[in-house]
Amino acid sequence: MRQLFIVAVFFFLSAAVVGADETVLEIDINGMTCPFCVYSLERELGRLSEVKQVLISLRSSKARLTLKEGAHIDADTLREVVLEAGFTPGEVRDVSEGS
Amino acid sequence: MRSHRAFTWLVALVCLVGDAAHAGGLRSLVALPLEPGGIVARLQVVAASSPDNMTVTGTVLYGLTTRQTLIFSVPYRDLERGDDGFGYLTGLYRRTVYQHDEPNATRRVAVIGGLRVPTDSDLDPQISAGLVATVYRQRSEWDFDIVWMEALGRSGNNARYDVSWQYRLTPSEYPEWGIPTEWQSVIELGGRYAEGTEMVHQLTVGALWVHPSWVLETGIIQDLNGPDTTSFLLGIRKHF
Repeated sequence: MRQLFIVAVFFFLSAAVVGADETVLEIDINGMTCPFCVYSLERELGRLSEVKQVLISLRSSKARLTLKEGAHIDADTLREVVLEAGFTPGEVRDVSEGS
Repeated sequence: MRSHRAFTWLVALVCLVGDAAHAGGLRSLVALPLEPGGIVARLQVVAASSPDNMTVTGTVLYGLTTRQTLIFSVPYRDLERGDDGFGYLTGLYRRTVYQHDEPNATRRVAVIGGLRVPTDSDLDPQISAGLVATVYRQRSEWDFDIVWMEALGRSGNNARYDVSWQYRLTPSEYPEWGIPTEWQSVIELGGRYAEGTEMVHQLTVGALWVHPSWVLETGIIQDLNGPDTTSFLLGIRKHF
């Protein structure tokens, strides 16, 4: 029973550590209009090898990127992708837990 | 002669439909972006009851760079009189020359130019040149275009203009995250001119179902001054 408890605690802590390593970035994007136009932006951001998940907010005019474990991406690279997709990038923020 | 005139009408009224296909109106051109390497394909059917005819227009857009897009289109017409065949093969180049973006809003202007090659030997190739503008704010998108098509020979010149207003019906507010599908209403005023005839002004009313990678479109086109024709439009666009 004690061993089981220790194993459970180990897995819990491991999961917490993995979660803590996850970097989440947000970038403001101007010029986003309808879903058909924004689709390409979501796809282009998702093609970045460092990116695990992309979420777009048309309401707030921004994108949220969850990076792969241990991955880093600089703000200029993100802005370049947004520009290439035809939109105007703004501020990039690190919104990871604990940042 | 009658066949030639019918063809000219068709060129003026229908063949110009869908030279561009992105988000945007049913018949107007649009100045919104297409990513480099991105492809949008559109198939649009316009059917008229009087004179009885149907035109299917295929259009492909290819994003060269962020500000440059190639547009290819060709209509296939099916006339009651049996004068079937392809219309002008159109190749257009669109370049964005002005872009001002804000949160949930944009203003863009593009120039377009290109060549239209007839598949009918009675007609001459045409050089096209024009302006396209798009204004998007809140739930509304406005598209404007004006294009002149100069014939390189004795056949007549053509021209067109369009003003299109699209209004997002649903959702009234976007969700905080994720790209939703939406319904838009569309109302357009357009003019189609073929040299030697009076410009035909047309009103188009319709709706769009906009998915992130698909658009379904439908509408009714009513001539305001021409031969009193009502046409029905159905189309699909796919973003690859």
